[in-house]
Amino acid sequence: MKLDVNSEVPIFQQVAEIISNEILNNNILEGQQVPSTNEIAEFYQINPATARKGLNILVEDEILYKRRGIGMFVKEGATRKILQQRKNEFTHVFLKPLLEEARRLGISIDEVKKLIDKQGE
Amino acid sequence: MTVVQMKNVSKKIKNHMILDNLNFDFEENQIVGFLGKNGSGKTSLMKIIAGEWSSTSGQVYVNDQKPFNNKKVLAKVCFIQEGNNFPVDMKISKLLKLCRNFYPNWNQEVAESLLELFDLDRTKKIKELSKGMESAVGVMVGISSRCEITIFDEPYIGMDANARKKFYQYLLNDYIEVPRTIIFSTHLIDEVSSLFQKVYVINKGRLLLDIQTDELKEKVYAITGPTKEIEEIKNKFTILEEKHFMGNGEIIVFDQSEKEHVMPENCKRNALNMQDIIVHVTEKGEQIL
Repeated sequence: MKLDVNSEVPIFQQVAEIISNEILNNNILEGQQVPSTNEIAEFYQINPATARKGLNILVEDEILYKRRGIGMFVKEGATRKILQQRKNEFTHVFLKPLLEEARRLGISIDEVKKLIDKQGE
Repeated sequence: MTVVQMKNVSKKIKNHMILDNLNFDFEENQIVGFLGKNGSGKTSLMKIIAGEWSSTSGQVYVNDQKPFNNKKVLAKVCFIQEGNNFPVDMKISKLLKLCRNFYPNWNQEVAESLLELFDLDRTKKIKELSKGMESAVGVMVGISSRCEITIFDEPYIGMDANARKKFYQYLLNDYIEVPRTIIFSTHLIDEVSSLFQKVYVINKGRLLLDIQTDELKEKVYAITGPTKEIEEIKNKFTILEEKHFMGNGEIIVFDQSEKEHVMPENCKRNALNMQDIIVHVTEKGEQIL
């Protein structure tokens, strides 16, 4: 729910991520309306054009759809779509840096697997 | 509709080039930031847009009209500077009356709530106020005027962090309610950059960048990695800063290419915050032009 205007991640991208997270967490359900551009801008104190850009990313990704004059809504199947996207990114965002650090520390793949098993218990 | 248009605009004062051949225009109802070091020409540019100064050469249009000494433009522009906005002997209550008559879109309700927000006592004279309070009066007038074009030139001198935050919040919310053109110059870039749709970076009187705020992070960023690999890709960019330490290096680049560069295996691209971006860009201004 937090947005960091000084973060390295562009603000509009953070807006898109926040909305997707809320969809994943079932705080906004499929078919439900998401906050408007102005509501997002007011809440996070950002330019409305930036908020709009964030929502439009989700429209392009077919996670939201527009109803003219009313607002934006979560598409049927959006949750599955976000999950799929996140899974695709999982390797790149989490696994790769993990293995990089393991290599630097001389931890073998087998040891990493064991550590994961242990942590998962 | 285009609200501000500059064609080959220069301003010379006593053989000193203050503004050097500026060309840009922007659409109405946006919040734009004018950024640059002290003495870069921001204030002069704002004075020209507000119709207070004429340009030495070139054409300036505000709402399709030449602003200098033009009453039609003046009524649509509210220009709040960093100080001396109002006669020092005037009481706030008198100032409010004058503003109500002068600004066609003046909103008394907004003014009242800002007086309360900033704890301003309307029976006081301007000269009886602290620096921060005086700035708050400027902010109050700027927002309440609801002018088609509102210009804030570092309007927050002396205001503490709490008061500045209240100001930004109120400004944005009022802009959402009544969209209008807002031009804002500031040094406290990270405090307000999230409000800007566009930024204009000015250096030594010249326009360095005219860019959408979120595109800036795509153009100016850091690359870190082994010095060897940094050397390989260096020449693809305009280098704004370069540092090497213990076999590793960091370069701050200005990326003018359209497509994304493929980074060498061990190099990483890191985004910078807005303040750092502007500092780097204005330090190495000449190389970008």
